[in-house]
Amino acid sequence: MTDKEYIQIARYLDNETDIQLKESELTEARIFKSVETKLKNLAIEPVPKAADQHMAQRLKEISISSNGTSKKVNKSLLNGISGIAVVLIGIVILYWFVQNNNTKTTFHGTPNVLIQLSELYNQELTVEETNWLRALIVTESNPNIKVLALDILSENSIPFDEALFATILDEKYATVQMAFLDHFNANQNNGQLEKYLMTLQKFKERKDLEKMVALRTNELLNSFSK
Amino acid sequence: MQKGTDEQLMEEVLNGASDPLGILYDRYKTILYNYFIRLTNDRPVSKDLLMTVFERLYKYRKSYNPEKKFKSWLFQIANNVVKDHLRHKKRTKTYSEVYDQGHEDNILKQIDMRERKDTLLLAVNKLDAVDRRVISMKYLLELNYQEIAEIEQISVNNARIRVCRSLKKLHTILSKSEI
Repeated sequence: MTDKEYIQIARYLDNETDIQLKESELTEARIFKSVETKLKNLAIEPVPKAADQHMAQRLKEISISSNGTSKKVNKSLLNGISGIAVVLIGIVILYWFVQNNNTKTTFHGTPNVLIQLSELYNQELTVEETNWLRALIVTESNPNIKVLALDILSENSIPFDEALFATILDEKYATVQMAFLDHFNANQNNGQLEKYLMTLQKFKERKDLEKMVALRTNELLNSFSK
Repeated sequence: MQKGTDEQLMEEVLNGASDPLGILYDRYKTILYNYFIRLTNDRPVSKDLLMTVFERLYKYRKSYNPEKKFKSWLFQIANNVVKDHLRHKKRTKTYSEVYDQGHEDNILKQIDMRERKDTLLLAVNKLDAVDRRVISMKYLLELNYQEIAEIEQISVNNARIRVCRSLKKLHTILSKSEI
């Protein structure tokens, strides 16, 4: 069966009225229909009582915490702050300093984002968290936030797609560029390098690279060609 | 007990209420638990994944878009939860080991299922992860092709093709009497 025929059969099985099938497709559709019927009648297992009890307990906790226990939230936040948070606090202060010194550069990141990022260190990332970090790298203008997001993704060995890595071509901050290069380096062993390589070669051709960044780029390209 | 549509209940959850979350749990727990069983073939893990879904639902409640169907959003979370679980398992085991039926526990489960004459479930367990997922989305969660396409991030026609191919594989397994 071709893909086109499968599409027709699927539409037919969904009772789309305008679908006319050929004889061979109709035979296949009848087979699928019988499997479908069996699947729809497959036994459903009840949820264990332990799950219900766990959920009931959790709902109680949510109810208590949403009834005005902001102190508890703050306490749990503080408990989660590790050594890395000290660095983050430094970044927050730096961020405040930059904003309050009327430099030409203004960043849109907030300390809340930095706190959220600190919570992601040393833990396994969920799909939502990974997607959020990827989005930050594209949308954030604050280089500190971008560096942290890149660092967390590297730490978790989360590979980039080519489009995301290509944002290095337009990246103006050297610290962010270095974080991208670190990510490239961290992925040396998981077969991700080849798809980044062309981007990295284009990046090397930029005339405005800082010496440190240019050296690191050359180093990575040389190590790949060996 | 408060009643309402899923979307109305979710709106109350957004405002910090916990009772509506309990109602949503009651509405979807069985279907999600069975979805996880079909994808992991592991009941204790399925129970944990069910809990994780509702933990995440609450944690990320602010990312819910009230203009979208609650069910699609919930199943998206469920799918992410199971993907995270399988990805985590893959770090210690190879992909085939995760899904293979060769493990002692799985053999015991197979015997158990045979005794219960649950041959179809056994056949479903012989499918690979993607086939199991799309078939379960279509015939257990009762998602339409548009919803499957959104969750799988593929086109609607690709969703149709995947479901048909999975049905074909399932039919082949059943007719070859591999179980």
